Amino acid sequence: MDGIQHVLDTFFDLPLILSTLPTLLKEGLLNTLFLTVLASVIGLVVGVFLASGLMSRHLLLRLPCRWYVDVLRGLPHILSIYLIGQGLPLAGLNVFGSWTYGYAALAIGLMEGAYMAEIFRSGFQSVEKGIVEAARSLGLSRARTMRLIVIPIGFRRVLPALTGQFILVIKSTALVYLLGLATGQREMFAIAQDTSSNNASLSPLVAAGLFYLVITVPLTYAVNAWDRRMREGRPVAALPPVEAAA
Amino acid sequence: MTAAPTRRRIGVAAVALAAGMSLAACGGADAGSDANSLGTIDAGTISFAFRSDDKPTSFVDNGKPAGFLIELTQAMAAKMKVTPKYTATDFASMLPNIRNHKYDSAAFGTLATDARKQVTDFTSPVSFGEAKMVSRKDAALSTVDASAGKTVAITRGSELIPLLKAKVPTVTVKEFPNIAASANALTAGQVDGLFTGETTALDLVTKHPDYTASPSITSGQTALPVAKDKPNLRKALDDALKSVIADGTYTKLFDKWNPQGVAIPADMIAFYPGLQQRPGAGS
Repeated sequence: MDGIQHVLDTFFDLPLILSTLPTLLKEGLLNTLFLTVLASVIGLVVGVFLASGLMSRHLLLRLPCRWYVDVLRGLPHILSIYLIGQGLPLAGLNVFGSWTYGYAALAIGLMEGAYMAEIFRSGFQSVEKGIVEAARSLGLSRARTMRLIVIPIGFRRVLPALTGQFILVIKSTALVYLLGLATGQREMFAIAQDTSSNNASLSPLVAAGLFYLVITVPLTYAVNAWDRRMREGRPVAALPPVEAAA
Repeated sequence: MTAAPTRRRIGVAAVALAAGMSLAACGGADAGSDANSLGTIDAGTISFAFRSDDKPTSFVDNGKPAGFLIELTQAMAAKMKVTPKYTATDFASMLPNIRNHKYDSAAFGTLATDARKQVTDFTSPVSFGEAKMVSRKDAALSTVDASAGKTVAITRGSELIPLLKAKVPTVTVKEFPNIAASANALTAGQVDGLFTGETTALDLVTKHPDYTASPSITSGQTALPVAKDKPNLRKALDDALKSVIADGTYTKLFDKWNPQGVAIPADMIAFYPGLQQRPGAGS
């Protein structure tokens, strides 16, 4: 029985979990969501541009994009965050002043953009050649075909894979602690880790884990529902009966 | 339709649980036997958790644990006639795992705060923490109090955070995961100061000629954690500590590992009458 008691004391100390929840809710959740949105926007923009570059016919455009994706997907996340987030200010490029979130969002966005680029590329390349040829024969330029035809269709196809990547972005935000956080700037994981150290128990991490689930599980279901809606249209029951129309 | 597999899964879980419980019971019986009067996890050995990133107190050198508290605990284990074993771990899981009998103790001077005393017991002090404010020479903070209204880097989870906030309420503390990240931020001008233990502070000043350090302030006593249900082990560690202090090993090791100019804290000498100051240290 001792073993189970130890697991309960270490991970499921209820009073400690409950006392961590208010800080997580008031401070951590908002910071996590804020950082996730910032990093995702940067990642999406970087990803779409890189994906276009990866598919380019010009070697000079394709190669740098290829290298970027290979290097940033291959390096450990912690190293990339340090290189970008601490490298910029050390080099004298204090673009965000001492605002940690700017550097963190940029670092996570640039990193996640590399992953998203490959997801987008697979989606864009899955768009049937015939559709592209049809658009081109209607007189659309290469760029407009990309913007109006390939990107919308491809985006829809990779939505599930993209959701998985968003979940990884949410969890990546925990790495912002590498760049230094002032009080009020801590996201959920930093709060949980500090509370863990101070109380010598891992239960606060479990409390943070609950909040991550609260964000990621509904997100998955919402995107799946949206995906189904786009594939199948509105629910059939909403259509007027055929007889009435006749 | 899913009832059968679910039931089977519950069955498997129950078997696993029962197996785990009987194993735990075996462990308990072992610890109580005569061969292991200290109550360590394995008879004849004592396992210490240590930090791989806290030079010169507890770190990894050439793939082996090294540092002041590593050698001090080795000397203590020799007095206790057990073989020491070291496992690197992070600070957050250190005390919970000592309470859960994954490690017997830690080769890491832990500030014995009230919250931590709820989880584990502590030996008598192995040292007293002393901390310094490090800053850039071109924007020097000459004392710890000079950090009022400034931003200061501290390693996250450190007990120096509440200490500094209590002493200088207007300071903004920025928490970094390790000393390298804090030092980068100081060099890049992202923070005005860096508050850390005395030995680390002197190490930084030696490595970075553009840094300067303030005089030290005391942060409190540090000790080795031991599970609450192992009073024999705690007593054995206390006795071993007393004897390595009495025979001069403590002073010798302190002298070996600490940069010149770091004296054994006065509080430590007051706590252990007869403890010798390191040679050459003023007071």
